[in-house]
Amino acid sequence: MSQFRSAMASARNHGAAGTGTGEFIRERFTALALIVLGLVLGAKLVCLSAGGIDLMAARAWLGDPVNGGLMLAFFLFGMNHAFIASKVLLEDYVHIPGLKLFLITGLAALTTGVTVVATISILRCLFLGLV
Amino acid sequence: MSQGKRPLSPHLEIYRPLTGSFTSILHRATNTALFGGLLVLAVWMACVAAGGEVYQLINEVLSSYFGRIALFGWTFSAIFSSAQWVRHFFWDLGYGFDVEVSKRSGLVAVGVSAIATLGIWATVIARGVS
Repeated sequence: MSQFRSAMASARNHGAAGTGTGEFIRERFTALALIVLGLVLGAKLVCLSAGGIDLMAARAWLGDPVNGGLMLAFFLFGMNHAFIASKVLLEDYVHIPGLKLFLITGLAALTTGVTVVATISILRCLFLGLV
Repeated sequence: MSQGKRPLSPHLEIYRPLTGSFTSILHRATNTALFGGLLVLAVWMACVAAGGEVYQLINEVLSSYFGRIALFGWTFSAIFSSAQWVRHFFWDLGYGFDVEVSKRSGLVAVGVSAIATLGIWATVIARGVS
């Protein structure tokens, strides 16, 4: 089969497109990563808020390479997971093809945008600590 | 479009309230709530990076009555979502499909999440953490 055929073209009237397994596996591995990172970050954040979260404390915390790095990993996995999970919801419950495509595109834009905002915020705090 | 011939996911109102459907729907709901939580966390980090009045504002929003309720909801959502994924990992490995076992693991997931959430917040409030 030509590699230029889209997944939709090979699926139409033929059953499964055969490309869903990767997403299924990715959903599970991101979930596992989020559970581990969530436990570590949850504990760290509770410790942070115990000292009162003034701006300097928050910046120092987020600007620490380990904290910032964990947070960055958390967002990369989180947005990846959120995209797949929310796409499943849209695929299951939105039955107007054009609207479905529009919403999934919007979801991709939103998750990408949040990843960019999170990354830049973390890097800014990291470099604020260096100057 | 051959959309009409494609199989559809059963709609929410079709299910009789059972442990399996309840935990599945709750997982989808909590996952969506957590997506919102990540958005707010990203906004918080952007405010930390920006500093000044913006940081004061996000702090006030998060420590308000409404903010606290949201944080409480996200705590439950994170724990329940994790617990539900643990059930999924067992199913993926081929265990826990027995109706009784599955029913029990679902109830355990909901119960443990509720107790853990209340425990965490009781500790936070008792220690007077803002």
